[in-house]
Amino acid sequence: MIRIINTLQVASASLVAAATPSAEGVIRAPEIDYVAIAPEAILVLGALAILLKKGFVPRRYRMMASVATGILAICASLIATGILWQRLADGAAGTAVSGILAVDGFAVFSKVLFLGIAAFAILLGVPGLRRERIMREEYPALVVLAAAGMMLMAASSDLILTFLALELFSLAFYVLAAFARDLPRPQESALKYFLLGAFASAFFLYGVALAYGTAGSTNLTSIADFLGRGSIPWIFVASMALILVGLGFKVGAVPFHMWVPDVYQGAPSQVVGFLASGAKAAGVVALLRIYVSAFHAARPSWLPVIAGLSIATMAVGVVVALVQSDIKRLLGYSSIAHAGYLLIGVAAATPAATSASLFYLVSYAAMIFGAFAIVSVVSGKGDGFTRIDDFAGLARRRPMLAAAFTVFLLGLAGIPPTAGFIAKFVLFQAAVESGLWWLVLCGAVASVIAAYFYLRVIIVMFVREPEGEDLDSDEPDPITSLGMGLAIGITLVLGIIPQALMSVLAGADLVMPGL
Amino acid sequence: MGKWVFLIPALPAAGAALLLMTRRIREPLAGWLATALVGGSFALSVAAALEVAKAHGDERRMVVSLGEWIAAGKFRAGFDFLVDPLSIVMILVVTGVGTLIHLYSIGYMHGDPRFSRFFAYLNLFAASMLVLVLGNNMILMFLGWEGVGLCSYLLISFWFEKDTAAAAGKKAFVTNRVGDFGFILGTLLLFANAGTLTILGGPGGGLLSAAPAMLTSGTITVATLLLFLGATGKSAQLPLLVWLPDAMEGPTPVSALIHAATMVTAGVYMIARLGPVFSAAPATMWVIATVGAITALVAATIALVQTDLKKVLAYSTISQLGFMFAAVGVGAFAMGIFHLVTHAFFKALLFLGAGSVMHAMNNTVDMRNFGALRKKMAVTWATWAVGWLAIVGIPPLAGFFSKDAILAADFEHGSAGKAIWLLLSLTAFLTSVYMSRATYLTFLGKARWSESEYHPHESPKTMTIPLIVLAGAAVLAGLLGVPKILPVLAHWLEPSVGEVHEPFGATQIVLLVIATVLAVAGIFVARAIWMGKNASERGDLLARLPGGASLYRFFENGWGIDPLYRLLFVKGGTAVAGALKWIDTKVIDGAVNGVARLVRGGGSEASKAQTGYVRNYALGVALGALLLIGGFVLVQIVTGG
Repeated sequence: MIRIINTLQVASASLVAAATPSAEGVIRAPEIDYVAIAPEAILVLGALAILLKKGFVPRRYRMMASVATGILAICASLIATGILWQRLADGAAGTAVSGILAVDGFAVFSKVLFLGIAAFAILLGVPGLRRERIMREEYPALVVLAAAGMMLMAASSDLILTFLALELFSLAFYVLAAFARDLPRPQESALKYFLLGAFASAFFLYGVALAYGTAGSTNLTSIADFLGRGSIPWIFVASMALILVGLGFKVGAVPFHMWVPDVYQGAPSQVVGFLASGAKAAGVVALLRIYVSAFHAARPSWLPVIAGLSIATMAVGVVVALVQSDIKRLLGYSSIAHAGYLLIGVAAATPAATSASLFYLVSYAAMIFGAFAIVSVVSGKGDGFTRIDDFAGLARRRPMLAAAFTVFLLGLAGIPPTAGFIAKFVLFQAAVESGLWWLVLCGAVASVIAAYFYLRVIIVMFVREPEGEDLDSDEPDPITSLGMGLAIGITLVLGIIPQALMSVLAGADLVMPGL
Repeated sequence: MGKWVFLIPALPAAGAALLLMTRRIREPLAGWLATALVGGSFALSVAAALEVAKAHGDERRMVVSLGEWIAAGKFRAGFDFLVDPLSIVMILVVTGVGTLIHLYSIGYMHGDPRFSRFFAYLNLFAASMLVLVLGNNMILMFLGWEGVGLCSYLLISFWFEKDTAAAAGKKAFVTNRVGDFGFILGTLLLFANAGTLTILGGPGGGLLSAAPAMLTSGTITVATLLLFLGATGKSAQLPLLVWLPDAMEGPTPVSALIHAATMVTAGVYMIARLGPVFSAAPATMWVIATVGAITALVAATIALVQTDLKKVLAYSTISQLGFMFAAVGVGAFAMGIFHLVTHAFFKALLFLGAGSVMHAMNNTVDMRNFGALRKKMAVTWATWAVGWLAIVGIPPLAGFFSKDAILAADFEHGSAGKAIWLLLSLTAFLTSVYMSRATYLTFLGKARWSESEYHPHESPKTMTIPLIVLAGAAVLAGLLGVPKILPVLAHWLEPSVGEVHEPFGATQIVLLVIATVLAVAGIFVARAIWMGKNASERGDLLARLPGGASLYRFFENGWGIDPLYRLLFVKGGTAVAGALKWIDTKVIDGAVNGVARLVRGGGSEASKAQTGYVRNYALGVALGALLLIGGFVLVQIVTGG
């Protein structure tokens, strides 16, 4: 880590030098556009407030205060994002803060998505963690910090900032993965996640350095200009590969997927929904921003690799999921497969594919949050019951839970009338439009296979007799029920009237530089 | 056409929503409510039919739009319904037969603990099926397509306490996924080349005119073959027929409505709906006709040796669907739809008759335990007899006209068409044999059940009234298509399926006579075998012929299709998955371990165990990075960058 930080310091120093040319050699501070950074800044301030207030708030109110502060920060940030959106509507898309922060429809929409994910993380995480008696005051702080990092992933227009954002949300995630700190398994998987994540980040950073070495800048606009001018140097090719390692790790693409099932199994179910939707969405928006937009001129070079990555990811995800016996590992492998589908959207590299990917991320987030909320309820204390067999007879014990889980599983399988179907369809359709029918063929085969393992869980819930004693722990509390209801609502509404979101995506003008 | 057309699927959809959300509505109110809603849809369908009838020529094809549904990039799909003669026929059948079967179910499901849930699913099914047939774009059609599939699985495994019912639902689901994969890919391929998924209207006039004009013959062949794969899944044709016989685990009204009259005909409907697109791919058309004819024959031979009454009807359905495909495959869309309509009546009738028998016989379905039931159940027997003679093709019942229209249409199409005609004629003879066998074993002959154990009785009015109405329809529906004199249906369908050629002359009369002789001969053959003195012992006469025993077993095993699939996909699939898991954990990790050992210059076993996963995983990341760099380099070299 120290080495990474050193490298970072050197790199950022050179960045500052590069970004602020001045005739007299005096370094001028970049002009800061406070409205543009407000959404993230508010979240960071909120997190600081949560962490610092320990000394001021009486012990018995601390938990309540930190949750309230977290919610407040998310709401305030949402308002700030709304103001930013309003500014966009007036036609002021561009970059801010010396060109390192993009202010465009893509960034603003992604910010709303990540704020939604953070809101879900608090809504479903807090009651769940309290039930498990592992709730800590830092949880809301970690959630809002992660959200700030993920939002910057989408908005960053400079590879250095992307790296900082990546580390910001990843560090929060490492801690969340170890949240059940008294159990050995979470500790092991969290440590593994942390070490591998740091390792992958180092690759990313090395890629950034190589990009700087060839293109002379880490700024995405400058890199796009550089690539647009002509042939691509070999070093830059290596840089694209290394950046892809870092982002591929975050989305859980094969062969950087080993952490996914371990972490999903090890981390408390209450936070896995957040890890799953957040890390995937953050990785995908960065891929879209960097490869689809900035590296667009180099698409002939990266397309075969990303397509191959997508095929391998879908294949391993769906096939290995077939033989899982633990529901959390099953959802882990399923999320690997979903990373593969999302890479199809990256490979397609058109505005239509970009909006389709964002639609996919929204619906995926709702479904995976819902699915893990149910797992957290059914698995009981200490995630003791996460075998698929533990779901036997759920339809008789808790019919509503079983019905809700069925909706989420059908959604993940991509069956109408759920959002999962529409998401997959528009994504595939955009890919076919850009000539990637062979990739869509692989995606379609993968989703046929995938339907089988989702169905297996449904069958177990509805058909098999419950094993062992009746658990009374699996009664969801009102707030968790509310969260699940919201997730079901999103899954079904987007499946039946997708236009509600699609017109927003169409109006958000997602076109980024280079597209 | 007004926007009220949307009420046709909306009424049963509302019923489903209501019944699923509240638990207050119980037996019998839930049943009557659901029936009334589908009945309301039927009334509206009649009104729509009258409105279409008032228009002339191309004006009979109306698009009713409720607004935009999905718009992404260049892709547009409206919430549009296509109301035309073809969809009118379908909605009349779906709501008409649907209402009767809803009514029948009130009696049949009496006392079931999940009574209202059953009607919720039935209503949901009706709504989905109506969306399927009315949808004016492929996505809306697919929404209905998946909706009916979902209801089908839910209803097949309705009695999920039975392991077999649960397994049957799963099988239907998985098999249909394979078909859906074809449907979606075909749809995407059409969109990629024609730029639209609207069936009629919109850019380029919709798929019906844009697809034949803009697609190369290769592309359109592939696209239509993929769509046909979807049709074989839903309509249980080769190679995806395996799920339908198992689907008989569901309640009998479900078998009648979904697995005989409506849902399984969706494949035929889809091909007729996209008629001009399919017609532009002659190779696909021959595949469809051939698959249909072969499926018809295979299924008929299997039906011949079943002992389960409902299984006989299930294989019979597959066989009759094969007839329909053999019709649409030679471009005789009107004849395919005609048979679809008559089959909906007489097969629903036969299934409901079988349900009535089961109701009376403590849910027994084994025909070896039946016999002489005609005395105990007069209405059931009389209506069954109508259905039996209709499917066999005795004039002037419905099946006679519709089946002969198909035979004549195939005969018209060159030597290949004559071969299909021959297969279908043989199938028609076998149909007569197996249906007569079922009739003799169930209703006629000696009773093979004891009075002490069974108390057969006629079913309640809610069950017999639908039987009577359907029997009437099975008698009269043939009048829709009397060749030459009264080609009502063909004429009605012309705006949708194009001009219908139905030559009628000496050849056709000879064909009619041949078909009738074969049908009558089949009845007599069956009578000779199964009505003799020791009928039950001679029941498997085939088994006593030289080499017959193995043939019998072959048919009984369904031509070995099920065991083959189990071997290939269930066992093979598990093996592949196991291998991949092994590769994922052992080979990838193993390779990483190996490299790790190399790097360390061969550390001791103990230290290997202690270094554990993380270092090796990290090495995996590093190897993956090398792989990516290698990939990029390879691409650079290949593209000469």
